[in-house]
Amino acid sequence: MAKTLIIENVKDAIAASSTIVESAKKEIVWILSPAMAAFFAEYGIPEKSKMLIEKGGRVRGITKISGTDLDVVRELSDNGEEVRHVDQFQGAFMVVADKRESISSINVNIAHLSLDTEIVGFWTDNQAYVDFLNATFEAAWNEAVDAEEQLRKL
Amino acid sequence: MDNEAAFITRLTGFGLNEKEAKLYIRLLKYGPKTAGPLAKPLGTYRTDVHRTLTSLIEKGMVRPSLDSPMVYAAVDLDAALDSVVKKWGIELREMEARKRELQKFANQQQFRPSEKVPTFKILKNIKEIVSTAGPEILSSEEETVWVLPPSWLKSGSLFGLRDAEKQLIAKGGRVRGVTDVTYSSIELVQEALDVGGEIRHFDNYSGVYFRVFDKKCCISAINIDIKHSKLDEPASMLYTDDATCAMYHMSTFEMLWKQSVPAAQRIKELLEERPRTLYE
Repeated sequence: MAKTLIIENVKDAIAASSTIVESAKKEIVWILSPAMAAFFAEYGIPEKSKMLIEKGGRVRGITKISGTDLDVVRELSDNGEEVRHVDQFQGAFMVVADKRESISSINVNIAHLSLDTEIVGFWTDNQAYVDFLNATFEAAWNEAVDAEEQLRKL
Repeated sequence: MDNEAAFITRLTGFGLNEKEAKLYIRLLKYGPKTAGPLAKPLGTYRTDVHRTLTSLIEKGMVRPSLDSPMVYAAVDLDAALDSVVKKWGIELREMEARKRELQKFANQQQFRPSEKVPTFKILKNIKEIVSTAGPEILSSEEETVWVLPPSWLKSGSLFGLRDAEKQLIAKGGRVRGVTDVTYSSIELVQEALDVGGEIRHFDNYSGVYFRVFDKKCCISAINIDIKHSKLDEPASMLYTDDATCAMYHMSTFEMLWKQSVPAAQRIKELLEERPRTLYE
């Protein structure tokens, strides 16, 4: 039976995301706010993604790339992640692994994140919910622009 | 539908199949017959007629003669129907006896009651959203909460969700909503306030839009952009009665509720900044 869990702060969100990324065998897709992407980088999640890519997996991500996030985006691209830029994303932030496990959170822009910052996230391996997030990711992916293009603009 | 067709329909409702019903009516209308002459008018073969006659005999609706060749006569309609009812009565009593035996057996075992399996479904247009949300609001006993963009308030108003909310409030329920109140949405927000809803304003909200019904089920949208308030307007939302998912949205709602300001205050501020006449 599918499992569900409510995540209550950034610390738990990072822990859950880290586990999801580690367990992935084929593909990770994510949509994160720039602040969240930077925070994830600080806590070593891109290294875990890199290991997946080295084993032949694929990692695709979408974020809003602005002047202040160039280093993070370059690091992710250098790791082999395919990153795209979206200007005005209205939706949920998410990390989905192998189309079977996900963590998502309502998109409330929190400028200053700390481990104790309260957020409400949702982890589940419910297939219907994961499929829904995955479909949303693909729709956003098709509308997003390649990170390199955005980096050149900046 | 002519009389004979209506008669056949009613007989099938009485447990006969269509072939049995047609054959029985034929015998009622034209009197006793051997199997052979019945095949042609019924558009079938003699063997099939024999099969159908045997079934009707078992049901007590046709009686065979002792002559050779055998002649078949329809049993008088009242008597035939009584016979069917009696047959069902016997079966019903047998089923009830079996049910009691099974209940007795179940009481001796330690069966675990089945856990409720949550359901998920994708709603693909405004019509599906409205036809899902409306009944959920009406069947709510305590509260429905929502976070919606102003454009959705219009759809809610046009397609009866506001009325459903009004009914919920009238029976003592509560409706709380969070939206980004702008000049152009003042009237729609005012309408939601007028029916008794508690509405708050969240500045530049850019998150997921959702509704939660009685903390039990919810509808949520991800990356959605509705341009027109018409029923076949495409949308993509997820409905679920998964309690954890509903609680997740509920917790998010409470977080947003705390961070927002009363809509009435926001409307006042907007009108003070830019009087309505100027806006109009």
